[in-house]
Amino acid sequence: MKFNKTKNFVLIVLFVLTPWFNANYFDDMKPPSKTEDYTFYEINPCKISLFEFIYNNREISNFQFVNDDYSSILCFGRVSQIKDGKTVFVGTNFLMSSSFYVLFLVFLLRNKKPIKNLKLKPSYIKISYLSLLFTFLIFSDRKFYVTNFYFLDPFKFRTYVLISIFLFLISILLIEVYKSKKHHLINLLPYLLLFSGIVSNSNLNILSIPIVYLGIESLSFNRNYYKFFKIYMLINCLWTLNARNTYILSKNIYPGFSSTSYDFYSIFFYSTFFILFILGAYKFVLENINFFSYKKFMKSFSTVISVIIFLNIFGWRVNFISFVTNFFNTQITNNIIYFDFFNLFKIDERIIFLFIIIFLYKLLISRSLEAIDYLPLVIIFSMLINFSSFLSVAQNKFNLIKYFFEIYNPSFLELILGSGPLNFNQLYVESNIQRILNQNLFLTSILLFFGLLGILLFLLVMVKYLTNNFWNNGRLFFIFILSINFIFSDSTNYLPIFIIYILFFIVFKKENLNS
Amino acid sequence: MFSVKELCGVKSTEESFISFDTNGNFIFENDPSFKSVKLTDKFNREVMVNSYEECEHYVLGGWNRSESMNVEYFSQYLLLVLIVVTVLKRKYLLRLKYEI
Repeated sequence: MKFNKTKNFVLIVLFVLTPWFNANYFDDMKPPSKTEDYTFYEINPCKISLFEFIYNNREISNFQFVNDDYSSILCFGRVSQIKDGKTVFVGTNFLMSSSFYVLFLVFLLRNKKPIKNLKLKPSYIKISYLSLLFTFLIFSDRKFYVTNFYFLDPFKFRTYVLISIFLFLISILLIEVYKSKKHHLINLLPYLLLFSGIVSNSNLNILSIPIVYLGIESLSFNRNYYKFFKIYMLINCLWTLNARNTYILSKNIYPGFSSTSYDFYSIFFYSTFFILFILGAYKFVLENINFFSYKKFMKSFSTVISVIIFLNIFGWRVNFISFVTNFFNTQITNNIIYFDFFNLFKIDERIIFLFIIIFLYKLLISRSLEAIDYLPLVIIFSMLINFSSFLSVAQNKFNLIKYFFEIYNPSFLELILGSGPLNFNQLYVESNIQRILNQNLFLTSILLFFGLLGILLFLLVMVKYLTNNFWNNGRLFFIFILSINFIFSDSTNYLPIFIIYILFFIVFKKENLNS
Repeated sequence: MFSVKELCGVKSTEESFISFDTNGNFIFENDPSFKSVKLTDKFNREVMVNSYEECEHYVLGGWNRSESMNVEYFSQYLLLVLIVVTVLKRKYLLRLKYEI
């Protein structure tokens, strides 16, 4: 058992490292040993693998490795250029990165036992709709992809034919893996915080593919969902008609889960994507809730938190590790609110508070401590000692809400119905900030996306949800804490956190505390 | 594929450097003010053109690529074929696993 685990770990590490060895080792190319000699890389772009570059440069800590999506397929994992003498661009072609990510996920789950006696065959018609939707999402982000696609012109039809075929094929792989291994996935959700599914520098999250597929499936299986979808699409038409002006920001701070432009197509396709994602995420949790195990989930979560702490203390100082981490989990980290642990390491507050709430709830249910529970206990103890950091997090959130209301200037229709989900471009361009702040709390996001109607609907759902659990004080307390944390954190705009919240809202509702 | 403007630039003179023989075939003359351009087709064959008209004629006839573009297009199609093979292989393996 232990040997198997070690073998798996070694195989995963090897799989992660493989692309960065990609080069022709039989040619006469020898990279210079002098760090200053960058002309070699200008004359010979994409000839030297990242591994060769690191091996031949002793002062590697002076460099910063960044993804270069605008590079050829053959350039994947190779040094494409060096800028300013310290920024090394490594080829991460979009098609290759997506294929590698999909193969990596298939590889990760290969040892998990498949589910038996279930219909495994996915519907190819639904997969066609799915790949069309994702192709249209890429089309609506076409200006963003001008600098991300290499010989795939976002203004030409050929590009979209090729991309839709490509998405159709990888969707078949992802959905088949999901269908056969879905009962394991619910307890592995915390790993999304390390492998978020965002493909390199693109705006595509491949993990949203099986979730949106489930959303499409739920529309055909449930008439109520279909009715709700039709009403939603009517409102979607109003949002789309309202998008008369185009607003584009150069940087996308929520990669994979936010539109890069505010225009007719973006609003329509991203709103459709959002509702299918919500329905799919809900279906995913409901389908697999019976396989949920607190012990397994907390074990995964503790492992993820330990890796995050390790990366915080050591990994970010080793530029290669931070490059690989960034490849698998692209996030613009500059403006995330962190909980600081004595200046030693810091963790995204969205993750740490969720971890603590889930742990305390588990403690309430089981009323016993296990070996895996010591990490959350240590974290809670550290948080209590470092209370000033908690105050600074609360202060930051207050400032963000205050700041949002200073710049929020909607029209009457936008105030009532919002301007459509997953789009911050209009708000920040109209307010002359010209960049999206990487913290938009759920409360402010829902007001921006769905207006006062959205807030009202959310309150109604929450009141119904809380009254259903009113009879149990312990559960009500945790639901209240979870809801407060959900409302006052950037929970809707980051896919992994959003799914974990959906899971726990359903788990807290279903779980019998006395059992 | 590159456009005429991208490969040949903008026509700088009104003078015509094209004529026809008795059979109606094109005869391109060299334009001294036009900097020679090397064009490539999809089989990586190359041709040098010496006037805007000649360049335009070849580009519209399919000599509108570059070697790196051909390599990239080939790689893209090859990648698609590889994914098709992976999908079929997995389907075959899954069928074996569940039906036998």
